[in-house]
Amino acid sequence: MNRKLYLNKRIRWLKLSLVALTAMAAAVVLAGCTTTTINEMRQGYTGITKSESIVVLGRRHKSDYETELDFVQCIGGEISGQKANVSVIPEQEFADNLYPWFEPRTAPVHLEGLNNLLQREQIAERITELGIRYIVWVDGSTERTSSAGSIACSIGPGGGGCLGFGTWDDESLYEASIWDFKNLTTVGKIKADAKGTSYMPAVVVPIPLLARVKANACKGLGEQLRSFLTSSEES
Amino acid sequence: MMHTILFILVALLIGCGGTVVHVDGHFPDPLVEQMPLKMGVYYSEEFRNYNYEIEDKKKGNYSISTGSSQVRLFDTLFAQFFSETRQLSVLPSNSAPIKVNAVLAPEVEELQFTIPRETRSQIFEVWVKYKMRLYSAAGAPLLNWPITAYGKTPKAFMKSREEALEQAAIVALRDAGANFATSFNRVPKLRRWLNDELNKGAGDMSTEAVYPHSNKAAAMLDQSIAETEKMLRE
Repeated sequence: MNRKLYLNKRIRWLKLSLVALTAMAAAVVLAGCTTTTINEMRQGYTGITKSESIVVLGRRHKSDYETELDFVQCIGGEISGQKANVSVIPEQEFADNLYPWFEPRTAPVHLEGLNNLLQREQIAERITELGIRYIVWVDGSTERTSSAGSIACSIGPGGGGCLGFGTWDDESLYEASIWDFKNLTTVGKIKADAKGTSYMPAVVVPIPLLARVKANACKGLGEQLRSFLTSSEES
Repeated sequence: MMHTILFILVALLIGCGGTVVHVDGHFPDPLVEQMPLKMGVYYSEEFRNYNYEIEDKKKGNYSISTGSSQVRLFDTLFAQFFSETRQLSVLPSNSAPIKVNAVLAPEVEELQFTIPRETRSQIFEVWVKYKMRLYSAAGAPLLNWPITAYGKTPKAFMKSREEALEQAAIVALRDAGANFATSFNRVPKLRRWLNDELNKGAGDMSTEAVYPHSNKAAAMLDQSIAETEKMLRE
């Protein structure tokens, strides 16, 4: 009798494990469904020397969203990485060096504004000291566009667990505008649009299978920017 | 055993105490043209220890302390903005005037904040409204003008409410500095006072000795106003 009970328990656990493994396998396959589209528009020649630097700044003057600090840092990392040998000045260091002229309230929105800023001797000198050649303005955000499903968890004296399934869609939409400090022109614009669905199956333990939407947008946009800025076209 | 129970109880009580935000911001030296003015600076006790508290059924209990950070901000700002500053522990009076062009005393008029739950957006926001009071060297009120500041920070994974609100408050304080620096010579009543003060300085030999460029200051001020206005229009 005891042996039968033990076997029944084993079979139930095996079934549960099988369901969990199937859900995990399905989710792993589906979690890869992130699509990234990059569009580039070139308006001028680019190129950078070893003594010149790039700064990547986030646009933060819109009221309903804010370009994330970590995304801007990630783009900077992508541009300077991969043995590209490109010097990228961190956003905070640049903003501190030029305080209060690159705060959300005061940062130039158009090139004319930058031109006016450079009329101030102190500002022009500081930018020259920093060796800035290009300023990359990143504008956009990652948002959750939809979510569905539910997961219920409970805990009791004999243990606890969760059961259910949750899914959500994220979308990253970013635009990078590249200003050339030397020639005071906009040399190009690059757009990144990434979409992806994340899943969370929960059979006893919830297993988050996240679509790396923001990370993919960063990688795509960063790589494109690196190739755009370091291209050997004459400047 | 008793220690463990006590620790758990204390942790639970702290958990029930609401959100406590101590704003600890450090601010860079501003890149501005110095005003040839010797300015006294007075911070009241209330300003130095400013702590905004709110008990709200929907929002919860919050305590946001900006006192030390705002003193640090204005100290850094004024030290670069004016050719000389003098910290005052009390406002001057008729019987005890001091040798300055004027005394500047900032006050917090209002602080507000929102959390993502309230606005259904994914950002934390902080607004601060300062009243900048200007007194004569003998402590007589001359004029005052408002400085508004706004800061926001997006909600982020693994970032607590405290951290997000502190970050938004630091952005707001930086914005207050930016607003002060770019609007100082654009407030009409302040502009008139500045012109009078700088012209007075140009004609006064003793002030001329302290500020050798004060005879050029009025022209410099006009140029600075024109440049700032042009820049902010873009």
